[in-house]
Amino acid sequence: MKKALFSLIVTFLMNSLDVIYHLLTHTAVHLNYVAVKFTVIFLVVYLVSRHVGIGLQEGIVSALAGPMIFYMYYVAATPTLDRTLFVLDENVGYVLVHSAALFIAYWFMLVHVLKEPADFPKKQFALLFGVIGAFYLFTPFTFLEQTGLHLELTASQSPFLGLFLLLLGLTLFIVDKYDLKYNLIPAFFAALLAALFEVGAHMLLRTLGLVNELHVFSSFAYVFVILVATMIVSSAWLSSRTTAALSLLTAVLLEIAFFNAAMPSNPLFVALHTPIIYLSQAILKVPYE
Amino acid sequence: MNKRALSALVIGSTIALVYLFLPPKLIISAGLGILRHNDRVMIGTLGLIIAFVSAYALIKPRKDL
Repeated sequence: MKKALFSLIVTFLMNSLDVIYHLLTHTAVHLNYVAVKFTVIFLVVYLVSRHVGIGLQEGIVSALAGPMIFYMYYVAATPTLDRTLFVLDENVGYVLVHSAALFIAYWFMLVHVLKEPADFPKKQFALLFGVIGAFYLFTPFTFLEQTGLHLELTASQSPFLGLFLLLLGLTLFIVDKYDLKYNLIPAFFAALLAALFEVGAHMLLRTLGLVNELHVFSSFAYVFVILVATMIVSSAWLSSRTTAALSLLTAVLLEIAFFNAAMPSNPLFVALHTPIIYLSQAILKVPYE
Repeated sequence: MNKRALSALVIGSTIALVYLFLPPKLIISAGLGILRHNDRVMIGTLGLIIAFVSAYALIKPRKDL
């Protein structure tokens, strides 16, 4: 039962990430398509956890196998799928993207819900994020587009993803090196609060065309993702008073990187958003020292 | 050797091979054309999942939570 629940939540998390991404990029999200993806991913995660076990290695294997098997279904089902709707995932690069999303969901459950591995391999993940970040920052966009790894971003947006991942890698490296306290859960709620506050403000002000009747969910999800990432970084760095200034700098850089990927930003825009993060942290008393 | 896993590997691989990888015309001419094409592909996909997990279970000893 525990394994079934674990698999269900992992699959739900992964599919939520997937659907949010497709909504954000205005690409095909079709109920049948999502249902098949959900079924395949759930079965892989559940059967592996039931017959082999739950762990980091099993997570990596499931994360790779699930999207690959779904890709095989997708290719084989060609004759009867409506290609005007199902134009995604033709490229093998998308399999890797889905694997990463699945692994994030699996890892999150493993570390923060089951609390199995005591030591999250920060150094290895720092290296991984650094390498992927550098890849997106320095690889020509035409190559990314050809291989399907451009994630529906434009040529000007793609380097910002690289910059964000590099910063995330750098942060993890610093957290590991100086053994800083990792306040993920309070940061998560702080992010939720900040996201609610921000979306509420945009809805009231009807600004930027960010929130409208059609895109309330996607814009909420986008802001949520941005702020969760910002929280993770800033709260980790805020565990020491002496590094508070650095955390502020990181939050601002992350905001610039993310908002540039979504829409034109300016210093005023960043200046208005940064205090929201710190206000929400203060409300939830995320440790400052 | 885990006999159940081995049996599941053989059965799963066979289902996947027939319904996922063979051309639809060949499946129908062999008298195996049950349901619609996409349903057969889904059956083949389930076979592939069973085969994959069985193979993984064979090479990796089981561990509990």
